[in-house]
Amino acid sequence: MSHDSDGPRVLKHPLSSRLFHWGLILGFLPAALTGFVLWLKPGSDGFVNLAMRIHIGAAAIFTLSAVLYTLLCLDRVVAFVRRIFSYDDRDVGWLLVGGGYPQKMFLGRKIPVPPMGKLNSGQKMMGVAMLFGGIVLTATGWILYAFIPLAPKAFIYWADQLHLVVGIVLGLSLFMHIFLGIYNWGEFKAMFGDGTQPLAEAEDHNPAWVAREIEPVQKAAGGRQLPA
Amino acid sequence: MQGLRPQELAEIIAIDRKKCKGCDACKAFCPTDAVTGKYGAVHRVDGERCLFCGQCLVNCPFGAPQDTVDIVDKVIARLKDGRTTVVAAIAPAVRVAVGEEFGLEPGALVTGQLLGALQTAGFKILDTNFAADLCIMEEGSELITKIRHYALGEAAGHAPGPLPQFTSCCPAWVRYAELYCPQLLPHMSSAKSPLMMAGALAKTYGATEVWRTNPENVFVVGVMPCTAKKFEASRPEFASAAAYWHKRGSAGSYPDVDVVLTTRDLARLLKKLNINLTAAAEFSDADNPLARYSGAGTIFGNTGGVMEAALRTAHFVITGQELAALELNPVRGLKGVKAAGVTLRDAKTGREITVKVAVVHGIKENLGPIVDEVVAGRSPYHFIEVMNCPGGCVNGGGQPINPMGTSWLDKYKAILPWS
Repeated sequence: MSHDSDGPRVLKHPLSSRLFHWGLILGFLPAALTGFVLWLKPGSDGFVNLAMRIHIGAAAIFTLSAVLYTLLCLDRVVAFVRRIFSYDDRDVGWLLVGGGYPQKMFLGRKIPVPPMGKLNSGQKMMGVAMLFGGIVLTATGWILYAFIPLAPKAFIYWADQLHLVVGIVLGLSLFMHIFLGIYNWGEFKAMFGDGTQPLAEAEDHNPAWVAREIEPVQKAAGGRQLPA
Repeated sequence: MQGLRPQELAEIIAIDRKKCKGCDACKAFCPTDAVTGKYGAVHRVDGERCLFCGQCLVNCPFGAPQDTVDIVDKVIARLKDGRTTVVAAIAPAVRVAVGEEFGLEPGALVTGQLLGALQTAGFKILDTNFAADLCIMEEGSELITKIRHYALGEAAGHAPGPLPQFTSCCPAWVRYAELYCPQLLPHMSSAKSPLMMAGALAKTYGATEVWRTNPENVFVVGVMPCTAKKFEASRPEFASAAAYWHKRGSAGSYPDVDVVLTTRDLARLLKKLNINLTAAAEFSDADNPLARYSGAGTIFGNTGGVMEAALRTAHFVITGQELAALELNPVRGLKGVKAAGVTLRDAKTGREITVKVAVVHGIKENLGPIVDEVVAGRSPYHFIEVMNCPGGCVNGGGQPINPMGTSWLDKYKAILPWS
C-alpha cells in the first residue's frame, strides 16, 4: 500500500501481469477481431487474406505471451488458477444480482452485493473461460495452421468447429470485458497505469481481498512502489 | 466456357462457399493450380484449368469441393422404366472401395457382392476389367509395333507414333496433356480408356450378342472411382457404337457411355434402392462373357498396373513366352516415379532389347521432369504410364472419403524435415 493525493493505494496488477495483459491486447484482441472477419468473410479476397495474416501474427504474439508468462511467472499463474476456481455462497449471491451492475447501469442505484475477493464472480468465470478457451484456441489454431497436411480430415474438421465456437464465445466475452473494464474506470487506470488503485476503490469493489490479503509495504528510498 | 466443347460437362467440381475455410488444402493437391482464392478467402475452381480429377474434393477436411454432377435419380429412373437395358461397367478400383460406404474395412474386396447388388438393382454387368484386358491388348500391341519399328528396325505398315508411348487410360492425364503439354499428344497411346471401350462394346457386341436388344435401348453407366470419367464420358468423340451402327444403316445418335457414377454415387444409389451391399446375393451370371477378366485387367486400378499388364503382353509377343513370374516388382509400390528395364529376346531375330519403362502417379508432384525429358528428346524410356491421382485409381476423386484417412502422401515433409 502506498499513498498519494487520493489517499493510500494498493498494488493490484504487478508489472509482469500488466505486461502479459499487453500481450493479450496485442495478441488476443486482433486475433479475435480478425477471427470474426475470417468467419463471416466480408469484403474482397485481399481484405480477408490480410485478416488471415494479422490473425496468424496476433496468434503468435498471444501464444508467446502466454508461454512466457507461464514460464517466468508461474507463481502468478498458480495464484490466478486458485482464485478462479474458488467459489462459495457469496458467489451465488453475487451472480443472482449480477454484481449489482444492472441496477447501477440501468436504474442508477447501488445495491448491496456480497463482498468479493480480488476477482469478482464474473471475473472468475471469465477467467475459467479464458484459461480453458485460450488453451483450446491456441492448440486448435496451430493445428489448423500447420497440421492440416498431417492430421485426419475428421480431426481437422472438429478442430475447426471447436476453434470457431470457442472463438465466438471468447470474442464476444472480450467485448464485454472491454466494456466493463472501461466502465470501472479505476480498474482501467490500474491496468494501464502503474498497476495501483486507490484503497477506497478496492475496498468498494474487492472488500474481501482488502480485508484478508493486502498489507502495508515500505516505500523504497527513490519512492519506488514495493510489491505486496 | 472457353476450351470446352458444347457437349462436354463443365464445372464438374465446384467449391461450396459456405463450407470453404480458405485453408489452401485443395491447392496443395490440385495438379493444375485451378483453385484460385487467397489464403483465408473463399476459394473457387477455374473450370478452364481444372482436370476434374477430384483430388481437392477427397482431400478437403471441410467437404467444400463438391461433385456437381448428380445423376443417381436419373439412373434409378432408367432402371425402373422397363424398356432400357441398363449396363453397369464397373472399374477395378471400385470393388476394393465401395465396401467402405457400407461399413466394411477400407480395401475389402467385394466383387461378388458388388456385382450381385448391381444385378439386384436391375443392372446388366459389363466388367470394365474385361475392357481393360482389351485395352492392354491394343496398347501393348501398339507399343510392340513401335519397339519393333524404332528399336529393332522392323518396317511398320503405317507410321507409328513416336516413342516414348504414354498411357491414355487416365482422363485427367489426357486432359492435362491437352491443356498443358499438347506437344506430347503424338506420344499418347491411340487406345481408348477401358471405360470407353466398354461403352462401345456394350452397344455393339453386348447389345446384339449378350443382351439381345436394340443398341439404342442400352444405357451404359460407368461405375468409376473417378470424377474425371464424368468428363471423359461427355467428350463427343466417344460415340463409336453409334458410328458403327450408322455404317450399318441405323440412324441413332448416342454416346458410348451415357453417364458415370462414382463409387460414392453408387453407394447412394444402392442405399436409395434399399440394397445392402454386405447382404447382397453373389453375382450369378457366369455365362456372361463380358463379366470375365484376367489378372492384368484387375491391376489397372493401381499405379503401375497398366505398365505391368503391358509388359506381360510385350514379353509374350516379343519373346513368344509367358513371363515366368507374373509380378514385376519394380513398377509396384508408391514411389512417385518408378523406372525399370526389362530385357527381352526377340523370338524372330534373336536380338535382345531392354524395354525401359517409367511409372508416374501424382501429376502434381512427379510428372514435370519426365515431361521435360520427353520434350527435350532426352527421354530414355519406351513406355510411360501416367496416372493423375497419387496411388492410381484406388485413390481417385470419386472414391469414398475416409474421415480418419489423410491421403496426404509426401505432404508432411515440409513440416517434418526429418521424416
